[in-house]
Amino acid sequence: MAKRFWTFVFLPGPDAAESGVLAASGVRDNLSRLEAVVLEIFLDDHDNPGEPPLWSICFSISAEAIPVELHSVFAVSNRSEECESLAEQGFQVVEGIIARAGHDLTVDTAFYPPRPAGKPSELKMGRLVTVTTNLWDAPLDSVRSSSGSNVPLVFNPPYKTLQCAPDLACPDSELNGKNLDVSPGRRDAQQVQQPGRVLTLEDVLFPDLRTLLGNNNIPTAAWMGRWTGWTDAKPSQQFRFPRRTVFGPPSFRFDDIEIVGFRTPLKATRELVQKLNFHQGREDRNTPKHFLYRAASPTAVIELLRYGRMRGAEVLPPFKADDFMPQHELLVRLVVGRVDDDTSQARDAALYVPAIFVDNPWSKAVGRQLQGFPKMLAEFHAGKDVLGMDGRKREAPDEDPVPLHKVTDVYMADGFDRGAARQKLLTIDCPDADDGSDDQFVAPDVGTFLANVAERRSPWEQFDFIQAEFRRTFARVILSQRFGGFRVLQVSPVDDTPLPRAWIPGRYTLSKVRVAFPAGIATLRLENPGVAPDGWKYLFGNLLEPSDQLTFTTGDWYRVKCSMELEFDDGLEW
Amino acid sequence: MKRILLYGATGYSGDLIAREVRARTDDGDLPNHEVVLGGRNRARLEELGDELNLHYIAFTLDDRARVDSVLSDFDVVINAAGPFADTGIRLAKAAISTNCHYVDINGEVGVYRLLDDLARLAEDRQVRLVSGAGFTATVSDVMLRWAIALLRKELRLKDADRLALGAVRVAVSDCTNMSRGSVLTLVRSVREQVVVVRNSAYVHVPVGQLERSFDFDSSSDRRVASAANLVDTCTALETARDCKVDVGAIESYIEMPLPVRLGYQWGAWAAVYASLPGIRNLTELQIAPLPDGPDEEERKETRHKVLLQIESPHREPWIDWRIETPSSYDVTARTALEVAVKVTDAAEVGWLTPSDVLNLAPAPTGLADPKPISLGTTPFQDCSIVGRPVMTPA
Repeated sequence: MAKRFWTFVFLPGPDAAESGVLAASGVRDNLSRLEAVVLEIFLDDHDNPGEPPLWSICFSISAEAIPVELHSVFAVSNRSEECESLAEQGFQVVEGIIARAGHDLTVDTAFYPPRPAGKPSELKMGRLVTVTTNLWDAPLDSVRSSSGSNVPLVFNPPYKTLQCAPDLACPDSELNGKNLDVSPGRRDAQQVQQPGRVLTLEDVLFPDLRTLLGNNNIPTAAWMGRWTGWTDAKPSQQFRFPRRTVFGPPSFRFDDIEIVGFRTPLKATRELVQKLNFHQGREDRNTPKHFLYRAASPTAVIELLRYGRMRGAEVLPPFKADDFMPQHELLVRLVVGRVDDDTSQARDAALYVPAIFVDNPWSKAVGRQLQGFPKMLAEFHAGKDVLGMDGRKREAPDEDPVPLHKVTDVYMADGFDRGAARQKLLTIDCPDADDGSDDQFVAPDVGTFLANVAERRSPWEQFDFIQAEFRRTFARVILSQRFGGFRVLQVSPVDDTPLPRAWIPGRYTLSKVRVAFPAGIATLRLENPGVAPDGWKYLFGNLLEPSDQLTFTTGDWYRVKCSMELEFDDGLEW
Repeated sequence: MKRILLYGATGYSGDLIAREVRARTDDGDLPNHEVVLGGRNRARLEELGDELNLHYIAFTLDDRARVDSVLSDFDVVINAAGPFADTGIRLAKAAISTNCHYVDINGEVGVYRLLDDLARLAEDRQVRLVSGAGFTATVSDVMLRWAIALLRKELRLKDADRLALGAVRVAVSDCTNMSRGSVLTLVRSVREQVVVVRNSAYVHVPVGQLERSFDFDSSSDRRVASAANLVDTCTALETARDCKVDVGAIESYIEMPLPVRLGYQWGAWAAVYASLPGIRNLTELQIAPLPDGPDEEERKETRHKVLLQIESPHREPWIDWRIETPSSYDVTARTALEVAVKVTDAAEVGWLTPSDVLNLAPAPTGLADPKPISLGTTPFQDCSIVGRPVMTPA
């Protein structure tokens, strides 16, 4: 069947302009009229029968009843690679499971369900949309065009998308953007008569497609044809716009966090921080070149995290302050500092995360685009069980969550469905400690964390800072802020989006911190799949131990429970 | 009509800039500009505004919303309020936020290097930042741009070709008759080390390590100058980069008689202790009773010299020029105002040097002849330049 597309045009719902998904797409304010909502489905059914089909569905809006151009609102694809490619072209896109059974195409992804009485909405995986049509297998030349002939019509409206990344000066409050004209490359488009009832939308708080479409599930027009693939986008002039109006204020609160961390020495760190030094080698006069970010310590931390509740500190409708999403994370972090060419001292100590994997597609999309975390999709396993975002087994969602330290494997995933390629990143073997009881955890105190003994090693200690300049300047800062909070520094865009790169400085503030240094030896086995992002490859290539199996004795690995707040800084603040 | 805010108008240098505004306005020199006085002290602003018939706005740099609100009504802000460590970053950030160009008369190297971190942000907002638009940086910077243009012409370099220089040295004649603000800035900016440039990058050398004798008066009586933390080093590096020049060394010197040199070196040794809050407060208490600065008569009697020496990559002397100027404070008033007037029309945005903005090229002709040439043009009226026969570039 190769590559094909199906386009369905619907009337918008009466409250379409108020839908949260439309607001979050950033196009609402620029659209004077809203005459149609368009659902378009793209299929790449590869010639290789062993390779699963690539599906992408895009919801967009049009100012004309018969679309001349489409303003992209929300998209789902069943392949992470496609998501990243579409995101680079300015689509708001998340991973989902897209499967066809007979006339039905079902789309499952992460969404916020309606709030149960008196309770917040918790992001979960589930059915979002079902598209029902008998056109999936229809031969193209059997479908008559509206004129009654088989002559293909010219139907190829481009997508208007919004590419954006934080502004260098005010990464917390302003975004640089470009409007793009992205053409899907439709060919041999033929209009379809009376396609019948097509759409079944689930009742969802966000993305609230029901608000966008109302009860309109019968298309007013439909096309199908061949799809040649996305063609190069035509960008507009770059412009700046306030972040708050589209994505809400960049202030987040994370509760019920659990962390299992492992400290590992490295041979070298230069490659791990090279993305922070994007300013080097530029010819333009206004790029400061007289400093480098360098790793402060030859120790990296590999951490496994479970966020119980991730929330916006201030939220825009349709969200309320208590609505939340859970997720797992695997990350690599290290301490970096800014070193001016002519000084032997470092400043602006911060944590930098060169590699990070999550199982929450919304966190991945927003984190990559707006916060500079190079997030990739991952699956977290406990033995044979795949874990959901909340730590419960996917196959047994009613059971209690599996304790975080019982996660055994982390895979990099190209999607959620069974056909998606998986590449193992990490095998974890922690001694069987208590199953989440709080007895092991203690509030950190000076005696615990300043004691320079192996049995009670804290995440960072003075002797971790080999280079004198770091010891002199900010080792003390790191140590004193260790459990009160810390600064972070990331770079955005994380991909090849052609917008100016910017440092994204932020602050984590910790609270309710409790720590445990479990007894026993933990081991990690790192894998280096070819598709792994650079940060992971550099970690793998610079491990001090010759083997890819790392051993952690008591004190070298730890467990933490805490809450955190994350805020980003404005470069023009005083 | 371009609107310029002069912040720090009631300080010694700010007052002189305000009087320069009045004089040039009376001469019909600023028909398209309105200059408004700004500062913290409403009573003194009112007094000065009434005397000079200029509007004024009183505000402090504590309230960001107020500062943003004020600057948003202006095209340019001149920051004459030292110490610039306290005012420079605040005003520059507010200026970028409000799309207002920023000009200061900062002489503190540390502040200059904090401000130049804002270059990309300023470029992003189409704002121009000019730091060091007073004496001596403006004078040396203009001379350097003239010299580079001349050398490129002599060497027949194309626009894309890079020019290699062995050393650029700036030297300033004795500047002991200072204002209270300058003394305060000087005391605060004394460090153990001096910033110089090696191979187009900043490095530090200990105070006292670099001393040279310079011919300040076209006589055989050469006088010793010691390397110092002058903004001239920074502006020279920026101008060199802008003009595609690779330079082995950039150093700035101030003439210092022996007792001053000894005091300077002792001050550098004690700089760490002098920065302790108690000692610093004590030092600043001793500075407080000093007079505002030299009075008009003293300024009239004062002449300064700024030397520029350029060596080839093989250490051959290529350029040896000397500008003689009126009092440093009078020159500062003229250069700061002229940079502020011209900054809105500069070709580029972002981080600029004074010579970028003044755009006074080409160099005066006849500099191979050791006779003073009057510069005459604003802001260098009453200034003359002397060149000396030097080796012609091969």
